[in-house]
Amino acid sequence: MFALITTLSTNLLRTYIIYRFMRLFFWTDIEEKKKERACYVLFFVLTAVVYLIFCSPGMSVITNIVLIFLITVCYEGALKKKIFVTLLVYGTNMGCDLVAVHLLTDYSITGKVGECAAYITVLLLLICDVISEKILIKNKGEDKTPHGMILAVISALCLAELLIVEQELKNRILLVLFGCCVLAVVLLIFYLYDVLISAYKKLEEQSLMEKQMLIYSHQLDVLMQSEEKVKALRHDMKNHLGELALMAGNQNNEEIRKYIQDMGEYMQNQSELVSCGNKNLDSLLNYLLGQAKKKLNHVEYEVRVPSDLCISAFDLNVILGNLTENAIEAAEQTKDKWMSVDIYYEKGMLSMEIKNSFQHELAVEKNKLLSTKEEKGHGIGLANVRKMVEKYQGFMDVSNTNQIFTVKVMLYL
Amino acid sequence: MFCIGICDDDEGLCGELEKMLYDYGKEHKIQMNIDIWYQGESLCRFLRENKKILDVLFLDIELLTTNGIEVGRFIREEQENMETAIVYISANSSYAMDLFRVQPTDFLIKPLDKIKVGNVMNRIQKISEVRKGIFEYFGSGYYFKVLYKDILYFSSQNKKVYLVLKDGQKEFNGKLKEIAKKIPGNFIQIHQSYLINFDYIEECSYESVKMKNGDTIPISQPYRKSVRKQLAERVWRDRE
Repeated sequence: MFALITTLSTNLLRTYIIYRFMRLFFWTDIEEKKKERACYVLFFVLTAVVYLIFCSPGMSVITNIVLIFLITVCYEGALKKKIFVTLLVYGTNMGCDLVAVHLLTDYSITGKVGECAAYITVLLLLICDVISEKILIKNKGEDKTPHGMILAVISALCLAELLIVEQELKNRILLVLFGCCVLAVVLLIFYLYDVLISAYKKLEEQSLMEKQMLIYSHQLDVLMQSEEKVKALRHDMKNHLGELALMAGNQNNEEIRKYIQDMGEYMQNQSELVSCGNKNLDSLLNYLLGQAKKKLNHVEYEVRVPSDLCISAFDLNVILGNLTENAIEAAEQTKDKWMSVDIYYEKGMLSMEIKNSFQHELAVEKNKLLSTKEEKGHGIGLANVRKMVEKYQGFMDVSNTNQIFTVKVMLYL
Repeated sequence: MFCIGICDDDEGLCGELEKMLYDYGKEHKIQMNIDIWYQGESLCRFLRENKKILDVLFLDIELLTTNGIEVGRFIREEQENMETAIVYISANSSYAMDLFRVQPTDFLIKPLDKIKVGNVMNRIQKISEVRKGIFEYFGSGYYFKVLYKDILYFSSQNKKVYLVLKDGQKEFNGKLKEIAKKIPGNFIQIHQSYLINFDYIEECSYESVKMKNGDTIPISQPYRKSVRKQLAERVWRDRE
């Protein structure tokens, strides 16, 4: 009975840990969610059954390895990698098992080593998982789990608690119950943490969406203004033509030229800065460059991009939004207040060049920018750009010479 | 001697541009020969009959009958001429992908002015300097010479090097490694056995490159990062 409860509860957590490990090594989202889930259920049931019925370590080892491998098959990846991950995960499991048994036999020889060791094993495994997650994700350069180490500390504290209680508590029922509770608490904390992280991500996406809306509504205003101007001109066309005919009658060439120029200027919409025909790019740049013009003295730009090139508005916004905002901020603090944006397409490559005047020495430190502003976390914008560039397998270059700061980005499209 | 063509149905603009170019030539001490066409058809006919290759062509997109895209395609596809630097002229700032396939050096928006034209000419001159040069090789008992600008790519197999040209293929004994060392910067090694000419790239991605003649060449794993860097820097340099 106790063995059953222990096995089921620890096995549940173990299955969850293996899921976390898999998520760590196989980054891609898989399509066949059903198959994935079935594999985990199979793993949970079969390992528990084999353990309880046969009670033979050899059988357990084999079923574990086979089933973990079966899980890895659900994910995309090379066979070598799958075998490696299987052995690594199971190896870690074995290691934790050994440590747990060793820890316990040091203190007691009361025969309940089996149950308590199982609890300690999974907790150790969990700690290993959290730590390796932290290390691997850090190496990838994208930290999506802030304060993740707290989870490891919590697990470690629970483990210590379990060890202490195990020494004092001689009642087997209570011990198993206690172990179950500890596991439940840990599992719930992990669950809460995941929920919070995903809520945070949603919030982040939402704020980007809101910005996107703002950009579109700005573009709509711009287009409506243009429309208004054309309408007004058409309305007065008769008068204008009459005026011009009169001037022509007087052979007043200079005045005619001036009049036509004025008409042209009237037609021009001051807020329609970019019209390369690519709707996403036009709206984004009209908004961003409009902001820049408000704050800076000289804003130069050139856009040569096919009108029918498909680029995601969201991705563009992350790249250009962050880069121009940084550029405006830095240029504002200089005398020249100058920035330029150059975007062009060639041979399947979309290149973007953003330059701005800047005053203080900016440190290009380990690929992360520290800006003139002392505010912490300013480099985050650039880190997001970098992530987006990686998504397009592109290339990015940051440089500064002669008081000009340049960021260049190339994407394969 | 710089051979320049202008093709626009607006006679006034042609005259203006011609003057700006001559002024530029005088300023930079470049001898120029400028021809003007008012129609796409007459330009195509001239190119077909004279087999003359222009260094630069200023081409209006909105020509009345045969438009700028068709003329561009004629030059690039039918005449297989990648050498002529095409500069599109338009009153618009919106261009379709078809225009980019012609791989113009730049787009000029009307009205033209001295600075815009000067900048384009500076860029073209810089690019054309890179393209000069002759490749020499020894094959079947003779020395041969080929202009670098006619080479699409080199490929190697065993000890043979294959030279893929606009019109056909040559082979000789040699090592790609040795060739890569002495070749101008226009060529990029994308694979242990491929060395390609940037000018003849139709489209590129992280894993492969499609050439103008339709050949798709893989970029091998160890070369990918450095090729990406070279491509990006090449594009950026051309724009400066």
